[in-house]
Amino acid sequence: MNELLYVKDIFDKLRQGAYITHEQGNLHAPLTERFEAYADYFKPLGLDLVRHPRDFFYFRTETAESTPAPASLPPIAVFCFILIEATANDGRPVEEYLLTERFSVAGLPHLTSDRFKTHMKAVGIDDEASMRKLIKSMARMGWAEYFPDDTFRFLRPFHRVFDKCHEISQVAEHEHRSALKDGEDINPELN
Amino acid sequence: MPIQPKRFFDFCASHVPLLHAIATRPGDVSEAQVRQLIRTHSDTATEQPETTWERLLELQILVPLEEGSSHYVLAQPLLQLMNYLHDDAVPTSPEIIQGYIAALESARKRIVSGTQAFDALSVGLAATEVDHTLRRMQEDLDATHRAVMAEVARYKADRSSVSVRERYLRIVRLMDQYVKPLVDIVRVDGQLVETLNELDVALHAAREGGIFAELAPLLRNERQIRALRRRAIHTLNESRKELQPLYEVLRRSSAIAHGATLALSRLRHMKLDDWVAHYVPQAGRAPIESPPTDAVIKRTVHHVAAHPPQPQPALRMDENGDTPADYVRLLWLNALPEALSANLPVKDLTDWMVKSFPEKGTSDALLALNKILFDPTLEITFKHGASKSYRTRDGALETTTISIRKP
Repeated sequence: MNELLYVKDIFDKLRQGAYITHEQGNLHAPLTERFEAYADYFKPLGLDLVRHPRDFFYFRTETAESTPAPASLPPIAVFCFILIEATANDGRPVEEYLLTERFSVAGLPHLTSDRFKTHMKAVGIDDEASMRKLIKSMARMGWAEYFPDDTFRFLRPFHRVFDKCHEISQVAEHEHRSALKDGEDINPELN
Repeated sequence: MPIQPKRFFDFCASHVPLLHAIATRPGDVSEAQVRQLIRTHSDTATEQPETTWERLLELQILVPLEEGSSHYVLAQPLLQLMNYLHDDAVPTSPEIIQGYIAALESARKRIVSGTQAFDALSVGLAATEVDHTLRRMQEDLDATHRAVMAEVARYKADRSSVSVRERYLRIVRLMDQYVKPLVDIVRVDGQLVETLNELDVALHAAREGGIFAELAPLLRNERQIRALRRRAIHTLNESRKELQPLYEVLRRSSAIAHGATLALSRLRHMKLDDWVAHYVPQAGRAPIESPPTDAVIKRTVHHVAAHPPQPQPALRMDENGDTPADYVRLLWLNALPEALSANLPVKDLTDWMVKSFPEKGTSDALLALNKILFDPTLEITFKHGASKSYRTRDGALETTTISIRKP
């Protein structure tokens, strides 16, 4: 039982910057059972196998920041950020809603307002067809599951977007507080 | 003219929607607005709007803001009753509870001074005031709890039209402005409990002092204090328990939405690569076509294991008075050509070496031969013939004869 199962399949999936989630049960189960062994296996190659607290897997490489991001990543990010903003504006609990609902491509808010359209256009998405293509590439990378009836749902790796947004907000809040604090130190009478 | 309770309640019973509509309007209402509400909410087939308007004034359900004003408010007792019936409470601010605590403290002082002065009237009045204050305090704390529950229910029932940020701010307002400060006041080591304890002592002293003939109010106060101690903290903790999960979820949702909006807003002001590096979560990619086989990995690991790194030379950080042995050897080697020159010619260099320096070991003897053989000032000849053995301190050297002539 020392042999690691599906090493090649796991590697082939993860090396593209994709995620392995519960949906890839045959790959996910051995990773879950023998995570340490797989992590040790990939480590000499400079590949850090990460297990997210929400129970999905991905690679973190030392060179990840220096290598150019895949072309599909910016549009995916903009797509997700817009959906988060629209969900919050509608008063829905962001995480619960986005991770439990099934969305139809035609019902998405991305092409309904000028501001959203501008953001999407900046990353090369300006119609429903290109958006559908984008969602399919998200499905390939393990972000979403696409269904034949032109609907899709988000998978657990979407938590990384939530985590990132939370981090961005906290950094901004911290900077804002620091700026206020610095401002308090200025004595107006000296001006 | 006194209002007949039956007429009052009959009218209220047949105009519940109208009264509720007036009660839920913020601030005062003008006569025109009331007439509009009457037309919307009353059954004009059974009662003329004008009659309804007159009854509202006659039964003092609506009272003018001031004498002669055309703006009205719902009578306060009825408003409280409506809020009670509709479970529509307003949270109590910490300042109001602080006011109650001050009132209790004032009453306590009067009980203490009344007890000391044997002034039964003063103690009786203060005890009645304590009774009212404790009741109002408990009602207000209950109202805060009901307001929290209503807000939580509203949140769970109505999931549209209000942004996450607005919901978050509503919950935060309830939590930060009402529940948390109130918990601080009523907790075990807080202001309220301290005041109640002192009041308890004062009431006990008044009762034991026997200056007050009617003990029932004092005993009632003591019972109320015990109940309030228990219920206040329980009520507020329950409120906090209701709010806390929503507070956490909404705080995170609000922060996520805030982060997404910030990321989008910076998209147009940054180079795309920089934007991705800062704002997009990435998974590492491995630009390799296939994974190395086990054999390759094993060989690589073996190479690493078989060549352990040399440890770095350790500098001796301590110092003693002895001359280092290597330095002594170097001086000896440098002085050899001069020592040899004085003995030239030497027919057998190796023999001269081991006899002149019998204390030197084999390695030093070899170093010495090396030094001399490569000295350009000396004329050296290797003799042919059988090699001979020369004893050193710790071994032997075997070589043919080496001779050196005078230059």
